[in-house]
Amino acid sequence: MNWEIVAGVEVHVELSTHTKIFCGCANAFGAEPNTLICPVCTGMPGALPVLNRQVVEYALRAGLALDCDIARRTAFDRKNYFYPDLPKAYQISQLHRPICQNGGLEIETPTGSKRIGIRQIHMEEDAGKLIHHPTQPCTLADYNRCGVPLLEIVSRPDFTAAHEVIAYLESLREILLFLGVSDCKMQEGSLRVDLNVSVRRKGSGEQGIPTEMKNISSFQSVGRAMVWEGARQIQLLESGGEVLRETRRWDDGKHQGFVLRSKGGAEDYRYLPDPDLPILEITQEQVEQLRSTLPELPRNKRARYQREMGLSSQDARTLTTSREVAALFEKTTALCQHPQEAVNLIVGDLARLCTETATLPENLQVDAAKLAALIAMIRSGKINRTVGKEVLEQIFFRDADPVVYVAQKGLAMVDDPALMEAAVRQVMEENPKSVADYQSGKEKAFGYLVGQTMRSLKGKGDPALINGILRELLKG
Amino acid sequence: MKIDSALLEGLQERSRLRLTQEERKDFQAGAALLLDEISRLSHLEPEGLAGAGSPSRCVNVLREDAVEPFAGPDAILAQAPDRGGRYIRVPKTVDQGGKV
Amino acid sequence: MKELAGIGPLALGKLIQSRAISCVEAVRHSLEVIQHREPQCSTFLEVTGEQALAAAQKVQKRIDSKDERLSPLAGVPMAVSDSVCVKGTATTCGSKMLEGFRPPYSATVWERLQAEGGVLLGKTALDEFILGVSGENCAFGPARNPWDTRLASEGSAGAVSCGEAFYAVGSDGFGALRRSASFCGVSSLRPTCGTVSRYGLVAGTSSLEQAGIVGKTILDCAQVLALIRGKDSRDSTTVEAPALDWKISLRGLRIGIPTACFEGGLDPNIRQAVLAASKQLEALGASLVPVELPLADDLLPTYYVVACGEISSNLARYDGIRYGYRAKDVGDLMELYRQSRSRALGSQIKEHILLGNFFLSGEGGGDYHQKALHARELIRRGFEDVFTRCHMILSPVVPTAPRTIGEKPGNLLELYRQSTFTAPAGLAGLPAATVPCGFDSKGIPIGFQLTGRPFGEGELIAVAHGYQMATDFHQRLPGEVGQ
Ligand SMILES: [Mg+2]
Ligand SMILES: [Zn+2]
Repeated sequence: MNWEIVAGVEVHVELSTHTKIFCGCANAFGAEPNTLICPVCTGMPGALPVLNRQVVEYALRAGLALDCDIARRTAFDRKNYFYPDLPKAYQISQLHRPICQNGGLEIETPTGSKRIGIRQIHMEEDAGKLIHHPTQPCTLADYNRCGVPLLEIVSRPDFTAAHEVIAYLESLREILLFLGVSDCKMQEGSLRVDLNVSVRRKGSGEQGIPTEMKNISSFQSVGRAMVWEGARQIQLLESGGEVLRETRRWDDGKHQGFVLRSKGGAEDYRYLPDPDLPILEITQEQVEQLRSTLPELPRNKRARYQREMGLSSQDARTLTTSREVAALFEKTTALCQHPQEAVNLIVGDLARLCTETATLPENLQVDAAKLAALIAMIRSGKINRTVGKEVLEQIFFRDADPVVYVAQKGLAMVDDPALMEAAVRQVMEENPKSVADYQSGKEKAFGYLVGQTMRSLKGKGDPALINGILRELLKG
Repeated sequence: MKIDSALLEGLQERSRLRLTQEERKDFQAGAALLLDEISRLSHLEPEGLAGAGSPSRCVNVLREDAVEPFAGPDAILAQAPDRGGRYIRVPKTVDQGGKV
Repeated sequence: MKELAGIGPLALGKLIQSRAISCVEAVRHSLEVIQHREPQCSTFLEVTGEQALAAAQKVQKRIDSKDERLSPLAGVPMAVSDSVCVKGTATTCGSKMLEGFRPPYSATVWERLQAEGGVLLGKTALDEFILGVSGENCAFGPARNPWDTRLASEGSAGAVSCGEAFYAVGSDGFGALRRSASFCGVSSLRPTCGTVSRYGLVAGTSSLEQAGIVGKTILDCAQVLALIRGKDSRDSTTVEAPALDWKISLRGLRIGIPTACFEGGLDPNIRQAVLAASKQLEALGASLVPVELPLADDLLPTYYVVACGEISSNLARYDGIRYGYRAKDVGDLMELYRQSRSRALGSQIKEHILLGNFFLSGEGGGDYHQKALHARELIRRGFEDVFTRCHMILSPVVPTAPRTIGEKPGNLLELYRQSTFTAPAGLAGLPAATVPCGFDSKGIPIGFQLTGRPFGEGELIAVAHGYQMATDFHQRLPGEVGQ
C-alpha cells in the first residue's frame, strides 16, 4: 500500500536576552546550580511576573522574518501541569492570543522550493533542569533555567520527507542567528526540536493520529526519527494495529524511539488567561519601525552575492553560514572593492585557520580593514600569495597591521628588473650544468633555475618576471 | 450538572489530591447544589468578547532587559525541605525533561 | 497607658510626633492589650514583640532627628494579615502547607509602611489562602470576634476592634476581611484594582484580590491607603492612580440603591440598619437613586467560577518541593505531591481546587470558565453604565448574621451565598468601603458597604466619613454592648 509520512515540528529557542522573561535574574548558561534564582522564577508565594521588553522585540523580529501576521493584542495564558522542573506548576505561555501567526518559510528541495507553513510563534518561559542523582534513587532540581525566555515556533504538518525537515531546521536556525535573537546551540539546549509524525494513505488528505518525539539532539537525527517513526506507524497499521497518541523519546545511538508517556486523549492543561500580566498592544507603526530595522536575511544575501558580485552559489552559501562571517565579507568587500579576492581569503585560508583553532564564527575577531589592506597588497603585486598567507596568520593570531608587518619583515616583492637580472645571471653562473641541460631540451631544468633564483631573492621575486628574464638570457 | 465518582477520580488526579471518604461525600453533595447555581451561566454565549485575565486596565507593562540579581538565592534554597548540595532533591522522576 | 484606649492612629501619631509619648511606649501599650486580649480573641498567629520594640526604637530615633520623610502614622503599632510576606518572619497564609515558611522578601505594602515608620506587632489569622466566610477557616484555629468570642473573625478586624493594633493591612479576597470588619464594628477599605501592589501578598484568587485596610474609622483607612498606594515595578497590574482626595461635599453625590439586594433572604436586622444608614446619608445631602446591578443573576456564578479557576492554578505550586510542608518518607513523586497536598491543605481549599480544575478542564465542566470570563467583561462594562447614573452603590456587606464557630457549615453554598455583596468589587475591580451602622438583636455589629467607581476611593471615603461624623457606631468598643 502507498503510505505517506506527514510531519510537523515545534522548535523551542532560548532567546539571547540579558535577563529572564519575567524577572531580573541573569539569563546565562552554565552557572552554579540555583544561583540565578529569585522569588519570581522559583514560584514563591505572592511573587509576580513582569515582562521583559526585549523578549517582545525578539518575538516580533522572528515573526516578521518568518512572514507572520503580528497580533494587535496579545496576552499570556497559564498552562497548568505538575512537574518538579516547573516551580509555579504552570508555565506562562500563549495559547489563545499568540504574538505571531500564519507565517511560512521557503525551503529548497531537489524538486524546487517549497513553502512550509508556520502556524504560530509564541513567547513562553523555560522550565528548570532535572538531573538524576548519580548514586541515589532521586532527582536533583536546578532552577537557573526557570524563566529563561523561549520562542516556540510551531510549523504546520507540511513535511513529507526527512530532507525537508532538515532543510527547514537549517534555514530556521540560520534566520534566527542572523536576527541575533538566539545562539541556537542544540548542545546547550538553546534550540530544541519536537517532532510530530503521522502517516496516511497517499493522496487521501486525511490526518492520521500523530505521535510526538522529544529529545532529538541534531537536525540529522530529526530526519532519522521521522523516517523511523513513520515506518513504525505504517507497519503497525498494516498489521491491523492502531497508532496511539503518545509522547516518545528518540534514542539516536540505538536509532530507535521509545514511549515516554501515553497521552490518553488530548492532554488537559486547563489553560486560563494569566491574571498577573496585562494585555500587550502592538501598533502598526511599531511593527513597521521594527520591519525597517530587520537585517538582510541569509537567503537574500546569497541571492545578492551571486547576482551583484558574481559569486558561485557554493561560495555564497559558505559566506552566509553565520552572521559574523557574512558581515566580515561585506565589510571587506566594501573596502577592497574586489569580492572574489575577499571570498578567496575568507572561504580559503581564514576558514582553515578557524577550523585549526576551533574558533566559532561568533568569536572570530578579524578586522575587515586589515583584510582589505592585505588584499590590496596582493592585488597590486606588492606581496605574493605565499607571503599573503603568512600575513593573514599574523592578522588572525596577533591582529597585526598587514602594511606595517610587511614593511618590518621586508616581505615586499623585489620589483627592480636590474636587481632581478643580476640574480638570474648569478644563478646561471652557479649552475652551468642546468643551463646546458635546458639548452639541450630538458625543460625540467628551467623550473630548477627559477626556483634557485626565487630562493636567492628570499621568495620576494615575481615569478612571472623571473620567468621572462630567465628565458631571455637562456636564449643566449 | 453533577460530579460523579469517575469524574471526581479524574479531578483528584489532575489536582494531585486525594480526598478521604468523608471529604468525598461532602464534596459531591456540596458541589451538586453549587453547580445548580453555576449552571445559570449556561445562557451566555462567550463568542466575540475576549475575557481579560485581570480587571486592571493596564496595557504594555514592560521592564528593561537589565540584570537585577536577587540578593538571597541561598535563602530560597534554605526553605527547601530536602536538598543535595546546591540542588533541591525530589523523588526520582521518570524523564528528565518536563513538557515545556 | 490606659488613656490610649479608644484613640485612633492619627491621634496617636500626633502624640508621637509631639513626643508626648514615645514609639516604644506605644508598642508596650499594644503588647499589653495583646497579652490581655489574646487568650480570648487569638487574633494573632504570631506576635513579634521583640522586633516591634526594636523597630519602635529605630523609628523613635528618626522622630528625634526630625526625619521629614516620616508619615503621620510613624511609630503607630499595627498588624498585617498572615497573607502579607514579611522578610524573615513566618508567613503561612493560614495554611499548614506554609508552616515554617519564612519568605526571603517582603510585600510591597509592608515595605512602604515600614519606610514610613510603620511598627509591626505581628501577623494575624485569616482564612486559609484567604478563602472563607469570615476567618473560621484558618488552619491554626480562627481568630475570635471581640464582640462575641463564639464568632470567628479575620484577625486583622478583631485586632483593630479590641484595640490590639491601631490599624491593619491584609488581603481582601473572598470578602472575608470586609465581612469580618463589619461584624467587628470597624471600618475597612478595599482600593480599586491596580491601586495597591499585590507583590508579596500570598495569592488565592489573583484577579479578584486586593490589599484590604482595616481601621476604626474610614479616615484611618484613608491615611493608610495614602501610604501604600501607587505603581509598583514588581506588580505589572498596578497603575499610578489619580490623586486621592476625600474633601468632597456629600451634596450632589448620587448613591445608587440596588433595590433587589434588599429583598429576598436578607436578614431583617441588616436590612433595617442599612436602610437607616441610607436615610442618614440622604439627610447629609446625598441623593438616593434606585439602580440595578449588571447581570445580577450571573454575578455570583461568574465570581465563583473565576475564583475557583485561579485558586486551583495559584495553589498548584504548593507541592512540597521548594518550601513549606512535605510529606515524610515518600519515595514516589506522584505520591509526594498527593500526600503533601492532601495532608496539608484544608478540606475547603481542596474542594475549591477540584472545582477550579473542573471548570477549567474541557471534561465535564462545559465551557463555564469561558462563559464566566465573558460574563465578567459584560459585568465590568455594565458597572460603567451604572456609574453614569450614580457615584457609588450602597449595599449590605453580608446577607445573614454570622454563625458561631463549630456550627456545622452548610456546604459549599455557604461561602458562595456570603459573597453576594462582596463579589462585585472583585469582579469589576472596584473600590469598596465598609463602615459600622448598627447592631443586631444579639448586639453584634452590622455594617454597610459602599462600592465605588474605578478610582472613586475619595468619594467613598468622603461619604463614609460624613456618615461617621454624624454617627457614633464606630466609637463603640466591644464590651460596651452586652454579649
Ligand atoms: Mg511550549
Ligand atoms: Zn528570577
